[in-house]
Amino acid sequence: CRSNVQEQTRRQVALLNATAQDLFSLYLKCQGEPFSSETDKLCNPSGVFFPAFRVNRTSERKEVMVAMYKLFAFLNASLGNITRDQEELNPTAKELLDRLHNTTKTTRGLISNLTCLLCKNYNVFQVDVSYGESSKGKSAFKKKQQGCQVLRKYVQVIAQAARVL
Amino acid sequence: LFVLLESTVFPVNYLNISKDLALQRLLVEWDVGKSAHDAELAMSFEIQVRRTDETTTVWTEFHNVTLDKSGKPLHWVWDSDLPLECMSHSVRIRSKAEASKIWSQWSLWETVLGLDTSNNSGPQIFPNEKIVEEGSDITLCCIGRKDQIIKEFFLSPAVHVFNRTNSQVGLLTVKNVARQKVPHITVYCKESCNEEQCYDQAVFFVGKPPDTPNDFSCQTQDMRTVTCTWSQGGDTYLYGRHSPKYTLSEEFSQKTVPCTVSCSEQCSCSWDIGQQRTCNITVTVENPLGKKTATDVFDVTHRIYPAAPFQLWEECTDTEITLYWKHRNKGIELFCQTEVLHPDGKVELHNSSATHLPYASITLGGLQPYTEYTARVHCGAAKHFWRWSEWSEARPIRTKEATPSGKLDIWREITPVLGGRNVTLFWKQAPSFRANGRSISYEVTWEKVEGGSEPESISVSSVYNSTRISIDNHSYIISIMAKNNVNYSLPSVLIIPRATGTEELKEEQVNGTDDGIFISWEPRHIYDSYIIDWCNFPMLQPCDLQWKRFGPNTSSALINSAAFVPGVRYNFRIYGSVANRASLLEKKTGYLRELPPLHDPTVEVELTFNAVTLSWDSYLTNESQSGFIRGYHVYVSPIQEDCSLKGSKKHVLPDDSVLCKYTIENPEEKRYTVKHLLSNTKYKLVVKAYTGGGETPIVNFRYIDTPFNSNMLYLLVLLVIVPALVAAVCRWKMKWVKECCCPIIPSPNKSKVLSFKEFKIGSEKVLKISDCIPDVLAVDNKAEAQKL
Repeated sequence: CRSNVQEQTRRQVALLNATAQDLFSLYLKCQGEPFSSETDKLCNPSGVFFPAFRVNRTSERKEVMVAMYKLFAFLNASLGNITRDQEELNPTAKELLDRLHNTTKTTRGLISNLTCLLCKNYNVFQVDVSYGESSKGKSAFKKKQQGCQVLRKYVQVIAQAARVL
Repeated sequence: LFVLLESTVFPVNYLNISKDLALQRLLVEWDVGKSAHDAELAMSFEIQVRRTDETTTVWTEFHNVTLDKSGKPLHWVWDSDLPLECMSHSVRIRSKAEASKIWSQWSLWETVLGLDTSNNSGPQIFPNEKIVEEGSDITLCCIGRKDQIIKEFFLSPAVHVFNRTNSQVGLLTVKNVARQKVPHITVYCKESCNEEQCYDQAVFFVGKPPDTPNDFSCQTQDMRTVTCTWSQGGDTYLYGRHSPKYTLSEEFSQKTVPCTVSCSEQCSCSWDIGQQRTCNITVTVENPLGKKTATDVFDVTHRIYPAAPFQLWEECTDTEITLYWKHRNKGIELFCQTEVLHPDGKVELHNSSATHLPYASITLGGLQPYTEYTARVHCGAAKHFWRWSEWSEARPIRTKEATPSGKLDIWREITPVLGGRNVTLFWKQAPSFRANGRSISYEVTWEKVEGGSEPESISVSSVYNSTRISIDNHSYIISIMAKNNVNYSLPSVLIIPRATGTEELKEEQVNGTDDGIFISWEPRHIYDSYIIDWCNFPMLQPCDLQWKRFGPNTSSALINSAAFVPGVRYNFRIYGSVANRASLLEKKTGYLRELPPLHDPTVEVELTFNAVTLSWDSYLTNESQSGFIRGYHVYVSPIQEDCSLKGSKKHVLPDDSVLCKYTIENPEEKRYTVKHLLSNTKYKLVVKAYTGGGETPIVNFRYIDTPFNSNMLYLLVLLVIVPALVAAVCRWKMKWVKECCCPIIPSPNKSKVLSFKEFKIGSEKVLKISDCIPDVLAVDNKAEAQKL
């Protein structure tokens, strides 16, 4: 691992935390009504799978790393789905697509760093990750809704992750 | 048989309905008896469509058909404006032979059911996801679960809809669907409960059918690969998998063209046509809302768009360029055009003959030596020209050097020195002169006209346009030639005549205009040209001498120079020239525009009690001034009040104070006396010089005090003071005066009467009474008398 991987990981999580709300707000705006006005109803995160993140600052470091890995592996897959769907539903929403791409890039960097840390510091070579349902084949409305639910939950969880690190 | 037919009916004996949910279409199949088929009857069928909830027929149509012996059932389709899931649809048919007047009985209603909602997990919207054409109408339904009523059914963003939602099936009709900022419309449906399963949503894409491909055209570069291009047309607002898809097909071979469409500004598709020479290509663009086509039928040999010529090279002389190039298209006869760009911006096109060869050339003549041209080539098919290829790369080409053409325009300035003259020679390239080469130098040669000495010469670099030579007082012939790497130009010659005494010519003033300084001169028929010279910067050394030549019939010119500025005096010399000898004819001097003088005269003052004499002898009126000094204005005024002096004019200042103004119209008159001043008074005065450009505003005054008037004093003393003094003395010594001047009893000693000799006794005068016969005699006892 690079010598500053811990610090880089912390900064990457902080970056995601700083940009999460804007990403979500822009996503809502690009879906059109009633997503902006009925966010609570339509984007209830309980309607979608999201990996649990039940660690805090007092948790064991290894547990924290594993929880992070599961979170970002799931996020990477979800962002892939959301980006694919939005490229079809909203191909002219350049700013939204750029933000999704940037968030995905940072997430992949995080996965790489976490993989290295888990391997080097904790001898963890494999982590079971649950990815939730793919949006492929679903109706346009369901695609929009699933993206909205995932991103809403993401805003909450990334803030927790930033606090832990 | 006819009578039989009139009353015969052929009822529908078979009726079947099926549905195409994707197309929202009912497929109706029916038949009548075999006898009708065998008779090949022309029949009419009346078809009715009904929906479950509606008691009225939603559609009636008459369908005419002539039966055939094959006995195949008849078909008819009906497109529903409402999704077929929303409710049950029923169809019935009756028939009538055309020859008959009697309709058969109606068939029974044949029904296709709507959605069976008994096992639904929630309300459902139909159509669930649809692509709708902008401006069209759409009807949606939301089917609630069994025993549920649709409470809410609306679009977001909200649009005006016709809505009926008081039953298990809610209906919503949107007229003239409009595209929103976001390319989706969300439809929202809710039963009368509030749990999550009581909702359903659907998204609609609003877009447009594709436009007909514009400018569809195919061409080839090599008769093997054909490329078709077209313009995409307007935005359909449908993206991703709903975006327009293009396919090309060839009608003669009935095959799809194996090419991959790529679109940026234009769309294009290329493929190998093999040996085919005639093509009928159709491009089809399709999206979920429609399909459009465009076709191009062509002979491949008539659509040759050659590749641009390449690998240009050239051979040059001083006036010709032979340009060569290569073609990529082998075996195709091409005809080419060469474009030549001249340095002055002129563009020429030259055609070259057709050739099958893989290379070609063209010779371009009539060019200027040592001049850069830019050439490029494009080609087209020689037979059945279709279009020009792209231009080749532009190639800059410079022709070779040649002898300088034309002559130099030369001039001189002669300065007498001890024992001879310094001659400064100037040259410039006349409009007809061309250097025709790279490195130019100037060969200056001079020799005595009479001969008897070797000519002298110097070579001057092209950096310079003048040189100075020294000659004696003989007459000299001077020639200057331009030289380049090839040869010399024709010589330009002038003759400096023998030195004679300098003749002083009077300088005449000339006027400037907005366009220059107008010079005119007396024409003389002996001269074949005139030359005017002047200095652009008369106050500097070197002064940048300029000259201009004029023909024999010219006697005036407007001289202008970028260096001319207002306020500077320019001196012009006019020469007449014959056989290269120039003689000075006239001198002119003038300003482009006169300006007010830079400085006011410095004034000396001589005061008397009622006049002031002003003098400014040192004031210059020469070329150092910024205009011709036309005269002076003298301004005077008492300090405290407005001026009104005899012989002056009033001059009002901006602050409304009034000065007395005197004008002196002779610039050489540098003295003036202002009279009629009051003595012992403060005055302010100023002397301003003025030119054709006016005078500067009055800023500073000179202040003077007129002296007290002494004559007046003397007069005052004589007329007033002296008499007063005398009167005072007299009064003081009145008695004495009285006694002295007019005593009451005059002293006999003072009397003339007593001046006779015989009346003196000693020193006393005695009057003998006998000598005088008094008229009156009185004795005065007063003291005075006693004194006597």
